[in-house]
Amino acid sequence: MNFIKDYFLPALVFIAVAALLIFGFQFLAQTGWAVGVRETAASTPPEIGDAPATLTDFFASLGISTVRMTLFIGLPFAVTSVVLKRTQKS
Amino acid sequence: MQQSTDKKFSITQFKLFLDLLVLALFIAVNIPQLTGLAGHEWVSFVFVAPFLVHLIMNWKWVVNVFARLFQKLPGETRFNQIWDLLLFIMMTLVVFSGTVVSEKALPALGIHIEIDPFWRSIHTGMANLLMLMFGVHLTMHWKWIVSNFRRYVLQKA
Repeated sequence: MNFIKDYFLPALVFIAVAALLIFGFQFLAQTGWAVGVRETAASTPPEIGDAPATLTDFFASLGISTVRMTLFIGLPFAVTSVVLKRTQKS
Repeated sequence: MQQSTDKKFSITQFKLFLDLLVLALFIAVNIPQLTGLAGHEWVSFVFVAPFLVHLIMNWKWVVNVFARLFQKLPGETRFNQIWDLLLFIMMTLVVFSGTVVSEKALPALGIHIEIDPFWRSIHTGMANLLMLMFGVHLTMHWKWIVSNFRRYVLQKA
């Protein structure tokens, strides 16, 4: 096993590609489009605050998190499963 | 002394546990309402390391598939190729934007950055999209996860 070839080099490649992407987006951040995004974001309050302090807050946060997880990860997971099964059958 | 192969910690076994760790951390990162902002930021920083190892461990697949970029590939492989590339782009941007809008973790380390609302907007929007994409990525590799989980976790128990 060649550590440099198998692990170090891939890590460098991923980091280099990531750096290029970030550089590209830094460029986008200077454009007119970014000005609009910045103005909208500045007037939007941050979504996340401190961790729930009471048991009631905890359960409310747990509920919100469960719904979010179900919608954002569970739903695409289920839909893709169905599509995948159908495509593999045909 | 018995020399058995099942005692050997194989690469597949390592990949399985790594992927389960990545999955657990990804879920932990995406429940900021529960963890709070500070928890969200610290878990996100922890997440980066196993995520990078996950990429490195799948390097051979990346090289194999991207070497055949303009050749005919099975539909599922082609889909994974494009999807995983998009996922990598999204993940990079979410991690970077999350780092530069850090309000708790970076200041706690003595690093103070002026927060640009542009990056906050990018972070929120892309993080939500990333979760949707992650769900699909999980499905595409679900068979591998389940079969190896049965093999290495359930059968050993």
